[in-house]
Amino acid sequence: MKLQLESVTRRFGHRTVVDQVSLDIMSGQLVGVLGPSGSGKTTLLRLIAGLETSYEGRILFDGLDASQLSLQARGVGLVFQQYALFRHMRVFENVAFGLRARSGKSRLSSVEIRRRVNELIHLVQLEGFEDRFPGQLSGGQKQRVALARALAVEPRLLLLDEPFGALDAMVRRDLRRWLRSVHERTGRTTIFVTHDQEEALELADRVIVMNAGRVEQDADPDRIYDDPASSFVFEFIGEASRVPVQIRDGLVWFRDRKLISPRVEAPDGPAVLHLRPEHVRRVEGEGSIDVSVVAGRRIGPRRRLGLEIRGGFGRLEMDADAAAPIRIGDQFRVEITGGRVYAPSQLRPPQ
Amino acid sequence: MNLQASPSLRSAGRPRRSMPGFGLSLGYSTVYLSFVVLLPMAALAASAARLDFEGWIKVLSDDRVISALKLSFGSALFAACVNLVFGPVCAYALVHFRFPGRRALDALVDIPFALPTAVAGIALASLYAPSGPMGKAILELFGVQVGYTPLGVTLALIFVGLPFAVRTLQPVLRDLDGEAELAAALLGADRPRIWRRVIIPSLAPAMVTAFALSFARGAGEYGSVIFIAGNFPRLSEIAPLLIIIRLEENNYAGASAIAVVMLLVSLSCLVLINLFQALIRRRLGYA
Ligand SMILES: Nc1ncnc2c1ncn2[C@@H]1O[C@H](COP(=O)(O)OP(=O)(O)O)[C@@H](O)[C@H]1O
Repeated sequence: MKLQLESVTRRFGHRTVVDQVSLDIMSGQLVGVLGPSGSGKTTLLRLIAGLETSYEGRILFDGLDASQLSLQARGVGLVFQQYALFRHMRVFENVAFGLRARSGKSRLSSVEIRRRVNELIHLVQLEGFEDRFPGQLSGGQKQRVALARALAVEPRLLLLDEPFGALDAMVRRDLRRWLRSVHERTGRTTIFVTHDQEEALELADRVIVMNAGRVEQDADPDRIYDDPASSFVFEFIGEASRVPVQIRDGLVWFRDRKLISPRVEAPDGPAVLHLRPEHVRRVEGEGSIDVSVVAGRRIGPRRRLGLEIRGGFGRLEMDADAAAPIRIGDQFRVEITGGRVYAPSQLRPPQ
Repeated sequence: MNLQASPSLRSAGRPRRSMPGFGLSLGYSTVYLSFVVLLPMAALAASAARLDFEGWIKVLSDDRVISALKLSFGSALFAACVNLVFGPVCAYALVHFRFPGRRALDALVDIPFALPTAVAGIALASLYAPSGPMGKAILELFGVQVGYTPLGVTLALIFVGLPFAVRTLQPVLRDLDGEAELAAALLGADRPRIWRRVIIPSLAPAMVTAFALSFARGAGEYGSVIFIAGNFPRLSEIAPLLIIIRLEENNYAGASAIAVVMLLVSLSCLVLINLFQALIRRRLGYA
C-alpha cells in the first residue's frame, strides 16, 4: 500500500504538535519514525491510523483521501505502546478478534479462523500460550500477541508505537531481530515509532527524524548517521561534541590553526563544529588542538575519553583502545578528521 | 490446567504475609461485625422463634404478606435491572465525554444518596401521583398510572438505586483501557460489537456489584417509597411497611417473621450474586 501525507498539521489548542509533515511511503517499506519524546511521533501515527480526525492537509491511502474512510475500512493494524490487549480474553481469542468481527461474505468459518489464528500464533512463537490471559504473560509475550492480533486482519499498513519501549534490553534486542524477520517474511508496509536511535537505525530501511512536530530528515540509516541534515539530527543520532570555530572563506579555523575539514557552506564568522568521537585522533608532535584527559568510560571494546580543550574552549570526546595507557590528567594533541559545520538555517536546538 | 500455579509464588510451608497486622485487624473486624451485624440478627431470630410452626404457616400464607414480599423483591429486582442499563450508559457519558454541565450532572447522580429518603419520597410522590404533573401527563398519554401502583414503587427504587450503579461503574470505566476500544475498532469491530465483546465484559464484575447494591438497597428501601406507593394492601404495600404495621399492632412475632423471611431472601440473593461474581471473574480471567 502507498501512503501519502501532504502538509499534515495537527494542533492542540495553540500547540502545533505535527507541523506540515509531507511523506510518501511505498509499499513494503519498513519505516522508523525517530524523535525525542514530545516530538509528535505518536500523534503522527494516530493521524495515519485515523484515531485523530481533525487535522489540516491530506492523508492518502493508495491515492484515496483517508478522511473518507472509516476506521474499520482503512485496513490499518496498530500495535499500541501499552499493547491494549483485551484483558478478559485468552490469547487465542485476542488474536481471533478481528477475524470474528468480519461480517457478510468475508466471514470465515470457525475452522478457517482456528487455522489462521494457529498460524499467527506460530509466527509469533507463542505456541502453548493460547489459553493464557494477557495478565499471565510477560511484556515481550504481550507485545507478540498484540502483533499477531494486528496481523490477523491482514492490514494494508502496520503501525507500531514504541514497539519495544516497555521491554528490557535483552528482550528488545531479540524482538528487534525477530520483527525484522517477520517483516521480511510478510513484506507488509510497516511504520514504527521510537525515541531510540539505535533501534531506528538497526531496524528500519528508512528513518524519518522528527523534532518539534517537523520532519528534520528523511533518509536511509547510513545517510542519517553519516550526513545528518541538521545540528539537531547530528546530536540526536549519536555521540556529539561541539567546538567553537571561526569560518574564513569557507575554511574552518580553531584559533590560529586550520582544521582538517572540507570547505563548509557557512558564512564567515564564529560557528560551531559538530564532531563525533571518531572524528578526533591523537597525534604526536604537530596537532591542531591541545587537550587534557578529564574522563574515561568503557564502551564495549573501546574506551571513550572526555577531553578538555586547553584554554577553556569546551570539551571533546574521542575513542581509544581500552588497553591504551591513558590516565586522567594526561595531556596531548589531537587532530580533527571530520565533522560538520551547519549553516544558521540548519542549526536547530532540540525543543 | 491451573494457570495461576506459578511455582515462584507457591513456596512450601506457610506463606508469609507481606502486610503486617493481619491478626489484629482480623480480630478487630470479627468482634466489630459480631456486635453490629451478628448480634442484631441473632436477636431477630430469637424474636421470630417465639412463633410456633402454625404461627409461621399463618404468617407465610397470609396473602398480604406474600404480595408485600413479592412487591419489595420483585420491584427491587426490576429496578436493579433497569439500573444495569442506565448505570453504565450514565457512567460512560460522565467518564468519556467533556460537555458543558458534566460536573453538575456528576454531582446530580449523588442526589438520591444525599437526600433524606423522605424528601425524595415526597418529591417523587408529588410528581408522579395521578394528580401530579408527570403522573397526569403519563396517565393521559399512555393510560398508565404511576403513583400508588407497583410501577411507582419501581420508579422510586430505580431512583435510589441509580447512584449505586453509576458510582460502582465509574472508576472501573475510567480505568478501562480506552485503547482497547480503539484497538477493537481498528480490527474492524462495529460499535455494538465493541460494547458486547470489549466494554461489557470488562465491566461485568463491577456490573454484578452494581446490580447487587442496587437490589439490596431497593429491597429494604422504605422512606422514598412509602409516599409514592400509596400503600394499598395487596397492591402497593411494601414489606418493610408491613413490618412496621405489625409492630404498631404489637404483633412482634409477626413482624419478626416477615423480617426473617426478608433476611433469608436477601442472604440467599447475596450468596447467589457472589457465586455468580466468582464464576464470571474466573470465566473472564480476572482471578
Ligand atoms: N490529546 C492531546 N491534547 C493535548 N496535547 C496533546 C495531545 N496529544 C498529544 N499532545 C501533545 O503533543 C505533544 C506530542 O505528543 P506525542 O505525539 O505523544 O509525542 P511523542 O510520541 O513524540 O512523544 C506532546 O507534548 C503532548 O503534550
